[in-house]
Amino acid sequence: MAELLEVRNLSKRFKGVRALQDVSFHIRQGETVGLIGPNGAGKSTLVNVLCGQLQHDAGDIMLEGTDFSGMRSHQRCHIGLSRTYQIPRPFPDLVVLYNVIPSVLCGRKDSSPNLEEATKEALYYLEFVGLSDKQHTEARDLTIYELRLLELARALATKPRLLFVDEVMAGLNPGETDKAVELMSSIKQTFGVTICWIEHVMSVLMEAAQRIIALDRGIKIADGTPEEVANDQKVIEAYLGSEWRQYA
Amino acid sequence: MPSWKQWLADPGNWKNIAIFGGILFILPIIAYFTLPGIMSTVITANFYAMVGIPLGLMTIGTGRLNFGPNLYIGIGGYAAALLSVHLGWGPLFTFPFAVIASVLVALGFSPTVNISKGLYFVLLSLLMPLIFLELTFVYSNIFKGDVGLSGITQFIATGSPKLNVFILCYFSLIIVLLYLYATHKLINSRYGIMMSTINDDEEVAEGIGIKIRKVKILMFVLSAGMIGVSGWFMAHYFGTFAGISYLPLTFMMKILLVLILGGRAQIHGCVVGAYFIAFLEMFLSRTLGFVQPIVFPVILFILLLALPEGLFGLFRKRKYGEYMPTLHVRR
Ligand SMILES: Nc1ncnc2c1ncn2[C@@H]1O[C@H](COP(=O)(O)OP(=O)(O)O)[C@@H](O)[C@H]1O
Ligand SMILES: [Mg+2]
Repeated sequence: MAELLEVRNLSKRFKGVRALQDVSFHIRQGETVGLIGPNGAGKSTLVNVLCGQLQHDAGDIMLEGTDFSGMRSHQRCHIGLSRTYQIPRPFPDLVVLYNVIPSVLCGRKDSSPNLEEATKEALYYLEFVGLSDKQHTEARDLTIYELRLLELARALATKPRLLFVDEVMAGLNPGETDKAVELMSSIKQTFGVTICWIEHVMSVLMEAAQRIIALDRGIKIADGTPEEVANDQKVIEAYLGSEWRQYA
Repeated sequence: MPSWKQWLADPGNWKNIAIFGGILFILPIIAYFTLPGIMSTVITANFYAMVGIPLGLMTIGTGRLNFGPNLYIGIGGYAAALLSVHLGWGPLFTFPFAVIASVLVALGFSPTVNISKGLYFVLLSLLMPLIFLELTFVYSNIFKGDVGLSGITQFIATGSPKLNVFILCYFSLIIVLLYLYATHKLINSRYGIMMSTINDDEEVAEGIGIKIRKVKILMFVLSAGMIGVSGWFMAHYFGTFAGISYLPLTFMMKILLVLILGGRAQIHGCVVGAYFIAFLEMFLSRTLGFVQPIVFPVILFILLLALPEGLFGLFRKRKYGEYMPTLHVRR
């Protein structure tokens, strides 16, 4: 498998907080990589830095060997990076359908479908995640579960090569969690997209991910198969005193 | 058969076009035969709409409320006035230059839509017309200060002032309807969808591949050019043009009220707001005389509180599948 994303010595600090310190890792084409870490580990910051919502302070970020650190976030989307937000950020005043159409219209540089085609395509993604019966609902009126689905539909509609999923599970009830896990695996099967899946808890990633990276206080503490990471001393320590034991 | 509530909520419905277009077209005729004085109020209303519609577009397209749109009335108006006074040009020849001048100034100011938002953008945009107003006094050899430039070629001279005004009612109405049509088309196109996402959440919009900087600058400059036309219109309508009539805060507040009262920057609502404000203003100044300056803002204040969705919003029920970007005014 070829390397799709290569991250070298990535650092990001906020006033006084070192959110990311010298983080290096790679993601291969077709992989599903889990990214775990306790609250405040820097997981969301990593996605923000890679997708262009934040600028990093130091380090190299490359997609298939091309450095994209100078690109703005719409350009990063055009080369195939897409993401969901941990706290869903829909376009609240627009109906669900119109939340997805813009991704189809603008997500890729090479295709510019007309409005009618884009609507059809957007509906396909809504059907895929199971939101088509809500297409006329304003996004502000959706439940948290539906918002997560909408986040996924909107991200998928840009036809990403590498999809960052920032915590789909948080705040869902057990039934919804199961459905979300199923959806994630059918996303993998249908679109064959490379996924970087972030979760606060590790259990769901044990099966879904081929590899897991663990962050703690901005530092990468482990990188390996789910079994290796689950038994890693540093990982266990990082989670000690947190909810780790009840989930592991 | 859709109920009246449904089609009334859809500005693109032919019945609304027929009814409201009909009212707007008949109004000057009624005024001509009954109360000719009202014709100038109609022109004022159309002028407000000529500023309000592009301002609505600008607000939605940049996701920011520009507090100094009247700058472009001044630029367009002075461009037309100076060319007409010094070179003797008629409206046809000054028109492109009024538009170009507004567009160029807007282009120079446009980076602010990318580097500032919130209060900063408000302050920056608010300052521009006030600075320009100062300049018209500092360089009063060019702009003629508060007297303004006079001797601008007027649109028409039929010999009958009443007929002149009557014709200009329709001329201004045609501009308004053209604006409404073009803006409606634009907002319902792919660009409209991009604008509405920018209006909702800029950062997310950029993340899904929208070139937000380009869209914002384009919409900013385009609407500024459209506002510039209103200045050109006023210059050739009155034959005189003074920045003091359009550049101060009081005038600007009126335009913002057209926008907000009409329906939260909703472009069709701007026409409703424009006619409402122009007629309310005229009615109060005729009936109340000197207390008008106090009563007018009080009434507007009450209406703003009572109608958070604007006048147009009273009718507009949410329709399935519809999206119509409006400004975020949250109470
Ligand atoms: N925009 C920001 N400004 C300041 N500090 C931030 C910002 N975003 C995140 N942080 C800080 O960076 C650290 C990592 O946060 P985050 O990446 O959200 O963690 P995680 O997603 O792993 O829970 C936290 O200490 C957080 O307070
Ligand atoms: Mg997070």
